[in-house]
Amino acid sequence: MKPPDSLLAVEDGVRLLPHVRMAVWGGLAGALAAAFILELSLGSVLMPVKTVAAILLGNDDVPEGLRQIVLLFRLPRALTAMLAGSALSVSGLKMQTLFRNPLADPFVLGISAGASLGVALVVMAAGGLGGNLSLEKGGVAGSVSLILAATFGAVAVLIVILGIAGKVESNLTLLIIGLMFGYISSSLVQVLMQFTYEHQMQSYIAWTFGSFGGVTWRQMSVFAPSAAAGLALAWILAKPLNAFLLGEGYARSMGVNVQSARFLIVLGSSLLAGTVTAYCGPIGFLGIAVPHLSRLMLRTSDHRVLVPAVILMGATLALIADLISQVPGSRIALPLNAVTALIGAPVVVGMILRRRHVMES
Amino acid sequence: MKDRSRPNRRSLALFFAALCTAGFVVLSIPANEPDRGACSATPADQAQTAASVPHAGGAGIRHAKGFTLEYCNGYKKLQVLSPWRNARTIFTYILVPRGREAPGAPSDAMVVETPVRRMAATTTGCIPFLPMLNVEKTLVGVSGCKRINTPEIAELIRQEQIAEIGVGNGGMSITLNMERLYVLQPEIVVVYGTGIPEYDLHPKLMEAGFKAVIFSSYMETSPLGRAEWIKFIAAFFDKEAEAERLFEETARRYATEAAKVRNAADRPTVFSAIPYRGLMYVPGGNSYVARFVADAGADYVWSDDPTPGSMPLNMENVIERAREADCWLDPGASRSLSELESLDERFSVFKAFRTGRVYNNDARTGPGGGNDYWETGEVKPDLVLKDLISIFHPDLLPSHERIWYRQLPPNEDEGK
Repeated sequence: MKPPDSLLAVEDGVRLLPHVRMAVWGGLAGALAAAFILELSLGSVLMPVKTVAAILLGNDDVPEGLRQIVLLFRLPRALTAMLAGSALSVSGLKMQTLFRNPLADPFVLGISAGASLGVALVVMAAGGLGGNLSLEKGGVAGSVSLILAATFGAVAVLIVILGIAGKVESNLTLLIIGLMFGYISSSLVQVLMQFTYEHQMQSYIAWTFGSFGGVTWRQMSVFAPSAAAGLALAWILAKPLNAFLLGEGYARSMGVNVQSARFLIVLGSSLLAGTVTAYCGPIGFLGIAVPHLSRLMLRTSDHRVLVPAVILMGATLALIADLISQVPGSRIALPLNAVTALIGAPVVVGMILRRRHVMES
Repeated sequence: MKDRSRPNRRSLALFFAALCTAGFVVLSIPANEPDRGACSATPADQAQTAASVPHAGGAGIRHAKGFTLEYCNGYKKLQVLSPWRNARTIFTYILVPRGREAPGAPSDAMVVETPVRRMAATTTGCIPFLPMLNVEKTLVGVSGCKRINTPEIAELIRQEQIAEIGVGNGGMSITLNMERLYVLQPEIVVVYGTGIPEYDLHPKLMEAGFKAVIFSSYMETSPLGRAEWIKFIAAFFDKEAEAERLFEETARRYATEAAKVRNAADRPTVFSAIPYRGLMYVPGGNSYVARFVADAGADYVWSDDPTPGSMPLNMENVIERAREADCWLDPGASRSLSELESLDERFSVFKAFRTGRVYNNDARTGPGGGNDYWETGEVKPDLVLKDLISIFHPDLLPSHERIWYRQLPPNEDEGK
């Protein structure tokens, strides 16, 4: 049986030879390690790898300032980038498979739009009352309240989407409803913006830029487990995802409980997207580009292979995007989202152009 | 979905911004080349001018770099030189006594009859000057009424003598209530310019037939420069002599305070930064804040930096410079140290944070959320300077009660 969409499924004839496949895996792991080391040693303050290693090994001879920069800033930042990159990429992979749509991404169900609405409400509406940045007077403070607001918004959308996912027959219906949710949230955000002072709008816009640098060790204790749980769930769901690749009817004939599998896929994917959006802002393009890159490199559509590949590649690309956004050696920083889009957009374009003959056939 | 479309929309907006700015530059440049020979900085040396322009006193501009005022034959020429950052447009206003003509004036410049009897404003920057010049009654409309702190103006707003002209809660005020403006019929509308067409109000206002006056004191990098914009406002009311006298007093008091700390033996090191998710927004070494810090007898840690505005820095970069600094000014909206710490526990890396020497300029924030530091503080730099000196050199001003600056309390409750 020929897969219906050649962008998502790869024919058997072009499978990689075993040793080539091993080399690809080795390359992926090596690239991740290299990006991780670079992320720790490059930044506004350039640091030799030797110094970084000494700091990580607990050497006390290194100046206090440098140790703090690596341990308090660069290490959590690198971990956040890796987790967020993996999470978004896996989430995107699942959405593309579930909806059999090569342009689906983690936010296609309105998760980030919900999170944006939550943040906009806190930054703008609450701020408008007291001239403050957030719900500080309520005892919930600063970036913590942004995280809570984003989580709340994402969860609210998630609950509705899950409720619908359990009821509707067709994935397409779910997709359209998700899209409409996105539009509703965006328009509510715009209404809020109209009633907002400049500096509040600025902090909302800064949030939409995305950043891996805001997660401290304290926040990591929530962020890392949530992301890890979402990734684990994706691994467990690899088999039903493979069945979905050939359509719901095929999945059903393979003995997959379509309704509950869909529920779990949406739950896991939204958990990943929501967690990342809450802690890092709405980060685009990684989630759409990495699954395609992985499929191209590994020449497979088997999710038991793709999930780990996407995790490695997502982590690597997120680190690289973050490195570029920090413009090492300078003291400026570029918006992370601009960088991911600059990497992601050409990838998507190149891929679509390369595969056009397949689609036309 | 929204996130993917944003970059396109933004680049489109930028493109239009460039187009509009280009158009604007072309339109406004001819206005900058009038005959300079007939004009002078003071009216005193031209008896004829002094007679035809009433109430004119000396108005030499010494600290402000953003505007010029010249006295010509039968009119005053007011020019805004830097309406916004990297602006290539100069705005020229020809001020003529009411009912007279200005024969020699460039024909394409905006002509305003003085003294102005009805004005509206969309920027708080000019508001405190009005009661100082005793012309607050001419103000008929303001955007963002509830954020105004200047007592005389707030009272007039309460009495409904001044109308709200902003749409949308008086917030961003991207939109003005044009219908209300038509009813109010102000002779001038004082606005600030950004150079970004989506935010700028003057093109729309001028299209609608209103005389928009660009007030860009925020572009001044010296505190006295900002305060000197009183002369800009005064020109519209023929009150230059009064403005000169008021500004002179301010400048003299500022100099007196600054002299006290000029040779201070111990100069604390100071940084200023608003944190945001791993980034910090820091005023450059050539900024208003940097100048204040230096004049108050302290060392700004970025004093060697040439940036006039604020710059977003990675926190690690700030740590490199400011880890051992003694004081941290203006940390944003946090109301206590514990609240600041809840934003990011890594602030304890800063010595100023650990020792509790964190000061915010929000002690005088009105019920509507407007911070008076950006209102009264801008026109009374001598008093802001005293606040800062009392922070950096407490022994020099033991009896000074700080007006805008306050030390963050350890917890919210203790601040009340």
